[in-house]
Amino acid sequence: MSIDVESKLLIVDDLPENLLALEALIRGPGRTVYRATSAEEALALLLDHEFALAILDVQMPGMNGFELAELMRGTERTRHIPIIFVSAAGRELNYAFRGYESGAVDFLHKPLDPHAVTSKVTVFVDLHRHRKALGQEMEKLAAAHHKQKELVEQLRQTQRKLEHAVRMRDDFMSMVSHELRTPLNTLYLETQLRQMHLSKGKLESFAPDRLPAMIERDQRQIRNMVRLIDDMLDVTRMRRDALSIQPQPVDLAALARAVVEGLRQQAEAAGSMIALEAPGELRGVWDEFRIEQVLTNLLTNALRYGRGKPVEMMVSEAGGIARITVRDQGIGIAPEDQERIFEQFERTDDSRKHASGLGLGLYITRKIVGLHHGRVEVQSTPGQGALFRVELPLQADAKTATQARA
Amino acid sequence: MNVLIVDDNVAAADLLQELLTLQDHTARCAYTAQQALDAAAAEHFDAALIDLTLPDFPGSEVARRLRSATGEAHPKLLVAISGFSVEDAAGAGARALFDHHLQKPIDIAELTAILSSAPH
Repeated sequence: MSIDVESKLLIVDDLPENLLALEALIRGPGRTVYRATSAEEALALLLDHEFALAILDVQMPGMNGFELAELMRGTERTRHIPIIFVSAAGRELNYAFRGYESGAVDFLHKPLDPHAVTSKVTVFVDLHRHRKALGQEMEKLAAAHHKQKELVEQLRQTQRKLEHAVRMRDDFMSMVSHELRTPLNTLYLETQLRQMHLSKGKLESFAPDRLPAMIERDQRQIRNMVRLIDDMLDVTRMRRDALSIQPQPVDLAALARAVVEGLRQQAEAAGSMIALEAPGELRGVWDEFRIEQVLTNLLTNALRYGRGKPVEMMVSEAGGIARITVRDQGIGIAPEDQERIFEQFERTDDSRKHASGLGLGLYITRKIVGLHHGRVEVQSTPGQGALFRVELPLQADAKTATQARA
Repeated sequence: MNVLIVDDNVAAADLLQELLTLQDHTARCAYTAQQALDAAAAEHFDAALIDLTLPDFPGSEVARRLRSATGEAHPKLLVAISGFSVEDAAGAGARALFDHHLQKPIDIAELTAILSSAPH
């Protein structure tokens, strides 16, 4: 048992000399003795200290020992303190009986037998020490139990996260293979058609004037597949924070014109068109390939979800910041989805109905913009289209995604 | 056979049409679910090849509408086409609605075998 448990002992007697004598009997290491010459004084001490034992003189002027004991029994804080009554009255007065009624655990008659007093006090002090030590053990146990519960909860959370990640990965694999199969299908049908033409001797399909279109068709499908794979790899790099940018002087206006021109066919296929408003030149230092990716992602989305209505892109500069806005008049994005769409693999239910895709475009876009110290935001009212705004400082320092806070 | 091809991927649909034509079938393309239903109402087809992901509503819904309450379909043979495996596509309730399921990329020999196995 630990010795550092301090046992406080309360002795109450109206005669100081009795108190001194009693204290001399019961003091010892690990014990502190408090003396009170009246019940009132004792009550004040009982408020401030937690006692292991109280030794009460029965006959005192004012409140007597029994009355004090009753008060102690009536208060939660003091109810469990063992009480030993001391009385000089004759045994024939039946004080002991009354004493037990008021909650005494023992009764001593004056003159005190020193040996009886010390051994009784030792029993109660030991009891108190045991109880205290047990209490401390219980507290430790409760704390350990609490800690354990916290750990289990942490583990559960981690497990949920892991399960979510695994499910995401499985969905992602399934999605990637689905997306790859679309261009692959077109390409495969082309080759089967050519094989059939060849086997039937229909060589006119391979006439020189038809070859460029054939090659262009194949290349488009191959580009689609390459882009899907690039997106996948970009995301993997971003997750490892290993994506870096290589800023070079770029004319953003010219880049925007080239991207819009490159998407002309796709816009027509969607029954739409892209209107570009840009200055003659907008020079800045960015990673041209990555910014092209941003413009392409935003415009491709606008065409996909734009319901065939015209798409507008505006490029401008003010106060050392280049601003790109892409506006469509399509299905729009619900307010609760406007943050989520920038997360990887996140797609709104509405978007799934309208177009296939991996749900990586906006995630990649935000990462790239973040790497350029810029920001991207969306404004949208469902049913009334969406406006994506990208702001890029004219000078972007090379840094890694670790530092990027997009 | 007269085949209805339903796929919003115009290039893939047109290629399939050309391939079937070269195999002495006749084929028509529909690029949306609504176009498919309109075509099926206006013309007799022996088979329909239906992509499961269409812009206006799912291919499984097209199949459901082509089937009468007794489960008999017009056209008689319904083939699902999708980038998903049969198992994944079955999750969408598509399996029971179709006679066959083809996963992209489509092998034309496999498709021909399915068409020739169908009662005329």
